[in-house]
Amino acid sequence: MTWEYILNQAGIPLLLFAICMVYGIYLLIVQRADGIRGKNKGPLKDEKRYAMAGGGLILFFGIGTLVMTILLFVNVYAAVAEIISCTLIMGVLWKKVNEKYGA
Amino acid sequence: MVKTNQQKMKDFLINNGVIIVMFVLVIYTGITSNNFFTTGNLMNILMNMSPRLVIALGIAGCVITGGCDLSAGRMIGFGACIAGTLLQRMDYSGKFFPDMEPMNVFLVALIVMLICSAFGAITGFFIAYLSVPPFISTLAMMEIIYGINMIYTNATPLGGYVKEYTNVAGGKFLGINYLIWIALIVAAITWFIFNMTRHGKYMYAIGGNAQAAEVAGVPVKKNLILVYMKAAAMYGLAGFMLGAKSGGVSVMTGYGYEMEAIAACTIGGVSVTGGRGKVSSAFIGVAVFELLKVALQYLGVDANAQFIAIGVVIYVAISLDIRKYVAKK
Repeated sequence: MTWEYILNQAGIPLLLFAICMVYGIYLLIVQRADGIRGKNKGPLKDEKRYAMAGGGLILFFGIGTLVMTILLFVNVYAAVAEIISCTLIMGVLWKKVNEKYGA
Repeated sequence: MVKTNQQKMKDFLINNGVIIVMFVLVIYTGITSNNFFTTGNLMNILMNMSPRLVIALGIAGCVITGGCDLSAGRMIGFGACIAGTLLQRMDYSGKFFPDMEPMNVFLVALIVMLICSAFGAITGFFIAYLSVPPFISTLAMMEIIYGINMIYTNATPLGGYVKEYTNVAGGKFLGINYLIWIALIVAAITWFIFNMTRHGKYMYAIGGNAQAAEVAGVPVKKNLILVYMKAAAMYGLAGFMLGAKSGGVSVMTGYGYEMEAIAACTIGGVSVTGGRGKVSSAFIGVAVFELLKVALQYLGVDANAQFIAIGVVIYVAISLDIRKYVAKK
């Protein structure tokens, strides 16, 4: 298995994993919600916690992406099922985060 | 505070700096190259612009509502692959569905748009009802679509299309290529939606201030879903157009197009902070981008250096847009 083969097969999920990791860690460090919500959105109940929870969820999704990358080499169906599950979990959890700390 | 003419000129130069520099570059390329300003080259540029304009118009809608759509590139690839599998010749040795007769080209375009718009509706649902930021939900959809496309095509490159399909890119009406006509029709429809419909007005209201729009009675959630559905249908159509133009596609078709489209919208004047943008903005942005690429090729700039130049343009354009937003505040 060459590096080129890995990039061809899983370059996009790997790139997304890197983006999610950087973005998630950034949110956990700066703890500012405008990084995810945009600049002209309304106030939040608890911006710091919202940003931290959001950062955590993005990290969770990033790890899900990495798992998908590995699964792509084993079974594509399992990889798709895994990323769909991760997206659904993230969506539901994000709704809860929004209800708790959001506008 | 009243601005002096000098200040107005300075603002104009800064706000339109990218377009002015591109214009100068195009003029320079035209003067120094023999066949840059020819009808053939112009038609070629317009043909290359056509699918990109359709993508940019889809993304413009999302950006106007204060969102973005990173799933566009994968959606284009998916659309192109669906169209490819349904429009292969019967005698093609690598036919994906060996026993299936090729379908009607228009029907396939419609099927592609419908399937993509269904995925767009899911993205919109995540954004509107689950409050997942557009950046994250479209990123997730990008991966899901990529995986589904891998399963659907088994990562096999597709080709051997029926003549009716390749004619979509090769055929002409009134001397103008069908692809250009399709892009013009999509632009006209989008202009009508943006300017003449209630949904269009709501889009700007949501982008300006979603909370205020909701208080004012705008059905924000429904309109957001509609925006992402419409955009996804356009990506599907763009994929269909790209497939006809290239004569062969793979899961990698459309890779990176979303970034170019977002950048083109920003260069043209669609604000990344939402609430601002026109159909002409997307058109100008796509034209500037395409002219830049062609001009760099004519000037013999190395292919890798072209990526750097395009990256610099995107960076400058988005910085200037943020500057406008800060100045407005």
